[in-house]
Amino acid sequence: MENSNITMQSEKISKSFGGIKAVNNLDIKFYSGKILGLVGPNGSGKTTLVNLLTGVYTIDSGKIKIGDSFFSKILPNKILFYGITRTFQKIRLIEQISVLENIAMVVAKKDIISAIFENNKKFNLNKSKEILKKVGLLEKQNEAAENLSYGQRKLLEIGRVLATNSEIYFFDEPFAGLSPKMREIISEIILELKDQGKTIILIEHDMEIIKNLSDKIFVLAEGKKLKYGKPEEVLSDMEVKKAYLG
Amino acid sequence: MDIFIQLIVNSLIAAALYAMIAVGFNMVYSVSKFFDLAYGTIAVLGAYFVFYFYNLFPDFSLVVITAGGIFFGGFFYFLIQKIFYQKFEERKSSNVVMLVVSLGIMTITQALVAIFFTSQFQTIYLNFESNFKILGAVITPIQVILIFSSIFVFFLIFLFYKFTSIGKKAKALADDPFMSEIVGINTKRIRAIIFFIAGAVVAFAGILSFMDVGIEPTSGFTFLLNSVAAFIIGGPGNFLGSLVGAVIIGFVENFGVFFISGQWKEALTFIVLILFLIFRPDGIFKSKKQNK
Amino acid sequence: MEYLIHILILISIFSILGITLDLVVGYTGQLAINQSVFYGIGAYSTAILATTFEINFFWTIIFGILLSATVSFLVGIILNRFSGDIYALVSFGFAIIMHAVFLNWQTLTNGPLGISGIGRPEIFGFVFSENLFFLFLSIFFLFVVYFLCKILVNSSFGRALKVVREDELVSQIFGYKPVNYKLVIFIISSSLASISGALFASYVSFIDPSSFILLESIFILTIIIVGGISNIRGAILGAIILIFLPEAIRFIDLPADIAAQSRQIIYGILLLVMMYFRPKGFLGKFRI
Repeated sequence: MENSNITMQSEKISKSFGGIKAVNNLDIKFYSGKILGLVGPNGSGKTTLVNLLTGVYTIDSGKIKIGDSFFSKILPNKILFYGITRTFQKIRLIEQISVLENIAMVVAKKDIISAIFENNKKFNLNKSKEILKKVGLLEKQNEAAENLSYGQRKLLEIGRVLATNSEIYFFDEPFAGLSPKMREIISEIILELKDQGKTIILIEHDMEIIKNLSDKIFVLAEGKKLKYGKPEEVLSDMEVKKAYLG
Repeated sequence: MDIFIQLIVNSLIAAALYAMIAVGFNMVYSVSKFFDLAYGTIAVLGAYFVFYFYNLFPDFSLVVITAGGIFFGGFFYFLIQKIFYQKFEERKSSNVVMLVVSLGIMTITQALVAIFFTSQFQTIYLNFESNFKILGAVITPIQVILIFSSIFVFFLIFLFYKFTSIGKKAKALADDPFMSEIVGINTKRIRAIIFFIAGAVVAFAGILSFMDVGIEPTSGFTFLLNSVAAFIIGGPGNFLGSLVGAVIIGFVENFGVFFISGQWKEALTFIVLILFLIFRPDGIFKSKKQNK
Repeated sequence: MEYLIHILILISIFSILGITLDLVVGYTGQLAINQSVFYGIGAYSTAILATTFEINFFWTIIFGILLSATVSFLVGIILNRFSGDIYALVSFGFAIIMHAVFLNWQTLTNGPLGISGIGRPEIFGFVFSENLFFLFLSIFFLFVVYFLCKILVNSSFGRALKVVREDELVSQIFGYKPVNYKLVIFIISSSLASISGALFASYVSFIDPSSFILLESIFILTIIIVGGISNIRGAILGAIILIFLPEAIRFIDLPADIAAQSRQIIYGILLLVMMYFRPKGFLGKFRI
């Protein structure tokens, strides 16, 4: 097997909300060129964990290691710089701007001086259009994001993270509510990212997809690690079954 | 030393006035969740009601006319809620839209008052006996009435929320509007009642202030600013906090104005407010619930 | 005809105020009610420098812009901590504080007595004493502001503002620092607004604190609420409507102060009507 190194990991991170520990002293590792399936019953802390790792929530204790650096605090506007990006369980697009602009915003210059001199209609368009072509949304480029169908919106979010060209990708339920054809498209995109050596973390409820795509599965229950291993082993495990049904 | 005591007395008088208005503002904010900029004008309406009818019927009992003014204030505010604010609330307009709507109402009401009564500062002559003296400070009978009224109103409102069924429903509505609807509370009716009471309270405050110093069409805005400052400093939604906030504003205003010139009065209130917002944004007491 | 020129000058001046306010309200979505602050700074800068130090009008504009930029940097940092109702309230507060400064810093501003004798602009020996020429000058500045704002709004900066306005968290995750963007647009808005003040001071030749009260800020807000939020042309439309409309009352013979109050009533009604029927404003693109 190719060389796979740890691109990101957490060391004993915890997060409480009003006395309840949503994430409890958790260690988790993410490897380059691998897809990690993150599963667990509702309320197990999956989305909280992703929020912690992408700077949306602050960790109460513990450390996060990205590359060779340790962090006790991650700011959301730094994660792009650290090479991390994500999609959202409840789609968060910028509704009032066009499909093309939703991608251009990722590719454009972000420091203010340069941004002022970049004309919206002229710069960054080729790269953005490429991305739209890849997710099949090029014809819709001038539509306002709010006018897209559900499936198209999910694709746009995927396009958005592709545009970041990051190393580490968190996909939060990217397949939910999609037709089989759409699921095909997204699966291909994710597998392609894996081939490029990217680190992928996939949260999903659909066990078939998780089994097919993941290299390893991490089962979360009550904020703690319940099981970690190859899909066949984990999914047939008695404890895992109990956590879901019990 | 005399001056010092006088300043303290003046601060308490101001605090009493602002506390009354802040409490009413608190009631309104708790059930509708937006800043009603028109609230101050209700105080002005109550005052002008008394001004008009007392001039028209000088032999009539001032107490009765005052009661009329209080009722008028409550009723007028109730109407504004019913005719205007409710329409926007039904459409789930944002807080900012409601703010602008209240701005519109404030502008119109203030202008109408100025048209009917001119922009002149109006006063009322009450022949009370001479003033009282407390520890070397002077306090007029009206000011004494103001302070006691404020305490009385506070007490009444406390009883209202704690013991009446409407009060309890209003509290439920303030804490959780969604659940209140579900458990069957007639939120429209409760809101209307709260607005009536709040309008009555602020009209009363306006009448007392009129009897103390006088009134002009733009007085409402001054009342509003100081009371909103007290409300925010005390923590939105916190009735006791509004009282404390009012005391702070009263003291800052009077002591501040003593050391700096009088024209800085409003600016001073805002500087204090802004400092509080920067360093203690939740209000002087840590409020349990943070409303939007 | 003279009268029409007068109206058009006022419309130009208030269009600039509306356009610049819209940069903040329309593109950050926050209700800023403090444009009178920078209007006043611009006016007083020109007034003081022109009368006491006899500095050329055009230099006073530059000074006014720099001063406004500095003040708005400080004000903007504080405002950035808040949003929604409280933001509006704090911006209110700054309008009131600034008015108190104009009123009380008598050694500088002459307090309630105001400053008179502010001359018309002069350049290369030509003086804009004719109102018609002053109108051209005002329109010139209006165009400058209009084009600057157009470039701004159509740039990546403008798009970034829309992103920040709609979803701050997403903007951060994809690399933006909302605080910086909001601050910069606030500073730009305030600095350009001061140009209106300079024009106003020079046009009417006498200013006092009463032109820069909170009510003025509310008026400017009404302009963009009516004309359209988040649309530069909307601000101009709003200025036209709001300045022309009360002139219609002149045809009804009313005593002076009732006329002033009637104007207030019209503004109030406009606010209510716009909020009910079209919260975006006539040409607006963003619902508050």
